[in-house]
Parts: sequence; structure tokens; C-alpha cells
Amino acid sequence: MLRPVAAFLVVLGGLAAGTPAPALAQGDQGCDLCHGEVELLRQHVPSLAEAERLSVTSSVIAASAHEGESCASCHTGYQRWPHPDGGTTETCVSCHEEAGRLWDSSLHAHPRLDELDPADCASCHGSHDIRWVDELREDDGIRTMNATCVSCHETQAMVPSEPHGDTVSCAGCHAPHGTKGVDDLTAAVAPLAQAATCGACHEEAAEAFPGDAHGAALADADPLALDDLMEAGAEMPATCTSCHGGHGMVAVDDTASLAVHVDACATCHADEADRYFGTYHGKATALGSHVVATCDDCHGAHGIFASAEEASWVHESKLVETCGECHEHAREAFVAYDSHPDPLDPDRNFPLFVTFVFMNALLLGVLVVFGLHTFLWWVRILIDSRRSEATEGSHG
Amino acid sequence: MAEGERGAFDAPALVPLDTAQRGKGPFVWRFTLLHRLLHALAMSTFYVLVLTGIPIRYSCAPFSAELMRLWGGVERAGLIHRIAAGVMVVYSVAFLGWLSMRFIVSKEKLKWLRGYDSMVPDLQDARDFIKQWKWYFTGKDRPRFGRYGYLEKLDFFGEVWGLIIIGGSGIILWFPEFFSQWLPGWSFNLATVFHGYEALIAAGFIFIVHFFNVHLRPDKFPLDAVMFHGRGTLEYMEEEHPALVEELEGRLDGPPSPTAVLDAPAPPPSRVQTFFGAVLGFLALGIGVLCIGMIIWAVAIC
Repeated sequence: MLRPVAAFLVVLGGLAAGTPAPALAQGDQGCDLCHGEVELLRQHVPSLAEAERLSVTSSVIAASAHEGESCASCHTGYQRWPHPDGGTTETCVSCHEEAGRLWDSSLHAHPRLDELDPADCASCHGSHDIRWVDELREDDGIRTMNATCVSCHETQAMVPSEPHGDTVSCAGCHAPHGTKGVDDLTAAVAPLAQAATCGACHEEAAEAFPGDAHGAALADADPLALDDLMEAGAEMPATCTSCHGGHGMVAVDDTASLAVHVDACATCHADEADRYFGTYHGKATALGSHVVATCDDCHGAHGIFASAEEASWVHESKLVETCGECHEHAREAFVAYDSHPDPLDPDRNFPLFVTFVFMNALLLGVLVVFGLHTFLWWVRILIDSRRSEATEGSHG
Repeated sequence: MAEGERGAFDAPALVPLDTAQRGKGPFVWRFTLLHRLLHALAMSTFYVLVLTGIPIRYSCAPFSAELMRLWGGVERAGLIHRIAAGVMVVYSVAFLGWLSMRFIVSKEKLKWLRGYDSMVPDLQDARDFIKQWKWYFTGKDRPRFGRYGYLEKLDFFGEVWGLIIIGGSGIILWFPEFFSQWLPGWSFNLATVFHGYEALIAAGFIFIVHFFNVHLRPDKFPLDAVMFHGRGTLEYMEEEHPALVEELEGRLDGPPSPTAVLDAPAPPPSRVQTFFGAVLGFLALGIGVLCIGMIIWAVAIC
């Protein structure tokens, strides 16, 4: 009962004295005199909701990452009475310079569409109950943070069951302050940056990748050409997400991932994939077997090289070892099997070509000769039975 | 079950469906119990092989994954395929061995090789084949088959040929590491092609040519159950095997033989036999038509 009265006296005093600093003398406790009292605030603002928004006590700040800061650290000028119009007059940037600089380069600061409002510090961090960075790195913090992103990016939510769901924050991949569009070559998730971004956690893969065929293709690519490719939505040299996907990722040890991964390779290596699906390996994989070889079993995953290179798992000198992973007694003749056969290419595998043509001819020959044999038999019987009916009819 | 007795599976309505029971004359034994058992084995193992093989060959077809799930997965289907193949190899080799033994001890070796009783393809079959085509166009001089017409010989030796090609390539594909001691790498690619195409030829021959010739010809439609109950009427035999019936003149006068003895007069099939003959026959026909449907569907979309 006493505090509203005291606050009222302070306000009265302020009004009487022009522009003294009634609250300043008492520090944040002074702010609390009014901003801790919803009923009082309600008398000065048009709605209860507004009153509730303005109702913030210093204890909230003391419990937040800004513990030790006063209200006036952000709300400068508000020690005067009446308070000036507007909201926060001093920006977060005065302390958080780097974050502010990065944010200014981001899509959140400058949305592409005019109808979208920029997302500022408070959009993600909140205002008074800002949490410690360490706190945000814990599971609960990650969930809270991701829920914040998803409140705008509604279609991008990760499900808890996917490998990164609930364990990696959106900002973990998309850069917390300098967030760019996924089609922006300077984004943390852009092809050239993926090895570093994903590599922050997946060190081993990131180390192997730049040296292999995919990494080299990416490194050799002209960034301007990449930009054009990206704008055209065309195929890019493969990076982490090309094979693993981003949102909706499937764990590599998930049996459901086998076909997914082959499909990922097939987006670029369509011809090889087609021919793979013509073999038992491919057919069994397509039908859900988890045992037979898929692309990475023979070619590796992060250290892939052209088969002509000695570092490749499928280089002539390595085949016995690579195939031997599954086929215990693999030997030279065994690994000479063509695992991506093209029966229509006589230059690639002549005996196979001849066999394929011969068997097709045999099949066609049998079907034509005996198909006709069957059809004409049917016709003959029909003709004969018509005739005998006609004869019987004429007699009858 | 005694003749004329009504059983639990009373099915007189099924009799007219069975070509072998149509027409006049006493019944004649055409297939012994051994023949029929072997045919039942051949039929069931063939179906298992086809139904486990189709989804692998046409893995791109929408029904294949579903069919594989029914078998319990690719690995299980593979195991079942190998077991059925093993059974087929065993009974085929055993029967061929048994035939060879009987041929060796036979005193009428020429009868095995030539004439109305022979199962061995000869020049007469070539002449019959040409005659058959002439008959299609002229309607005259239809070939007169003996115990086995050229299509039946083709059915039998087609299976022997298929067993060699499909079984041989199959065992190479089953143990490629072992066979790579002697065979070059590309032979496994070839084995895959041989296995798949020869199997397709076999399935096409059985499900189109054999089915039509035996069951679906307008004059035999819808079912010839002679292979299930083992006997047919004399009129049926005259129609299908005139050269054999000529030789049987005067040998059909005795009392019906209750056990299946080739060319002996037979009692009519019991109602139970008629019932199961029809059920088995239509079941087999249905599965076969389903297989052909799946193959055509897969070829059309893959």
C-alpha cells in the first residue's frame, strides 16, 4: 500500500519540479517504483496490455545476462521526467559492436522483401530477460532459440528425431548475427563455407573433404561462376549438404539413409547410378536391403577420388581390399566385375554387349515365333468352329 | 472314395470345366503318380523362383518393394529363391537319372528314341511343326501327335535347357568369389544377363505358350486338369494324341486300373480329385497370369 503512494509522490514531485531526476537518486529501485506497479501504469497508458509491457522490474535485469547493468544503460535519457518519446535510445551496438556490424550485413537487417520488417536484436534475444550465451548453448537454450527462429521461419523447423534436431541451434549453421540467405555465396551455409561451418563440429570429415574430388572441384570453381550457378539454381560442386541434406537430414547409420544417399549421388552421377541400379547391389538396395554395397561403401564418403587416382578406394590397386570388405575371398578376377555395367556399350564391355544383344534376340525370337504360333492356333480354332456351326446350322 | 459316392467336396459343376473329362469313351491313364508329383514340384518351385526373382529383376517397379516385404525382405527372398532352386536341381537331376537308368535297362531302346511313344525330339517333330503352320493357313492335314507333341517335348527340354543356363549362371552368381578362381570378371556380368533373360524366356514360355496350349485354347478352355488327376477320356486322348491312341487299339477293353498305369483304362476322377484339380489348376493359372501382368507392367514403366 505504501509503494503506490510513494510513487505517486515522486511523480507529483517530478511534475512540480520540471525536469529533475526523481528516480536516478534511487538507481533502478527508482524505476521499479513506477514500472513495478501495473495498476499505476494502467492509469497512464491506454490499455492493460501496454501497462503489462511497461511493467519491468530491476530484478528481471539482475537475473538476465545484463546483470549489473542499470535500466539507464540502455534507456539513456530516461532519467529525466517526463520520459522522452520513443523506445530504447541507446542501441545494443554501443557495447556489442561486432554483433551489430555482422547484423548490419545480414538478411535480418535488410530483408529482400519490402513487406518484411527487419529482425533486430530484440526479435531474437528478447529485451529484458536476455539469456547468457552459455545458457543458450545448453539443450534447453537451443530449443528456446530454435523456437524463436521458427516463430518466423515456420517451415524450417527441424524434428527432434533428425540428427541435428534439438542438439544444434539454427545459428550453429546459419551464423548467429551475419545470417545470410542460403543462396548467398557469403552465407555460412554457402558451398565454399560449408566445410568450415560443418567442420566446427565434424572435424574429421572437414579435414578429408577439401582434398578429395568434390573438394577440389569446389576449390577450382570460379566464385563468380558459382554465383551464377547459384542464381540459376543449377548443380553446384558437391559439398556437405549436397549429400547429407540440411533440414530433414537422415543419419548416416540410419538404414533409411541408404537409398537417400544413393539418390543424393545420383543427382549428379545419374548415369553411374542408373547402371548401379542395373546390378544386384543397386536392385537389392532399391528394395530395402541394408547389406549390399551402396556408393560410399566402395567410393568412400569424404575422401572420394577419381578411380584413376591412387588415393581412390576403387583404384585398381585397392579393389581387392575394398571389395574384400564384404567379399571375403575377393581376388583380381573377382574385382574385374563391372559394377556399373552398360550392356549397350560395346567399347566398355564387349562380351556383355554381345550376350545382351543375343539374349534379347533370343527372347524376342521365342516370343514372336511362339506368340504367332499361339495366336494363329486361336484363329484357326475359331474359324473351324464357326464353320462347323454353320454346317450344323444349315443341316438343322 | 468309391465311384459315385458323394464326398465333402462335391463338385459336379466343375466337371464340364475340365477338358480331360469332356467327350465320350472310357478314361485312359495318361500320367503316373510320379509324373504328377514331379509336375506339382516343378510348378511350385517354378512359381517360388519367379515370384522371388521378378522383384529383383524389376526392382524399379512399384510392386517390387511390396512383394519383397511379403517375402520378408531381400535377404529372405534370396534364401527362399536358392532353396527352391536347390529343390529343382535335385528333382530334375534325380528324374533325368531315373530316366537314363530306365533307358539303359530297357529292351526296347528304339521305342524310347522314335515313334509315338518317344519323348526325344526327332525329325518328325520338325515335320509336325511345319505341318502345324500349314494347318493354321489351310485348315487341312493337322499334325497327329503321339504321346508327346513337339510343344510338350519343348516344355520338358526347355526346362532342362533352362536348368542348365539359369541354374549354371545362378550358382556362379551365388558363389562369385569361388568361381573367380577360373572365370574372368566380366563372366559375372554375363551370368546376370543369362540368368535374367533365360528366366524371362522360361516364364514367357510357360505363362503364354504352355498355358495357352494346355488350358486356354478355345477348344480346351478353361482348364485341362489331366496333369492333376492323371487321366482323360478316350475322345480327349484322340483329339490331343491321335498317334498314341491308334497304337492303343484293343488295349482299353479290360477293367479300369485303380492305380495309374500308362495307357490302361482308368476310373473317372473322383469328385475330390476333380475339385482339387480345378482348384489347383485355376490357382496356378491365376498366379501365372498375375506374373505375366507384373512383367508387362514392369517392362512398360521401367
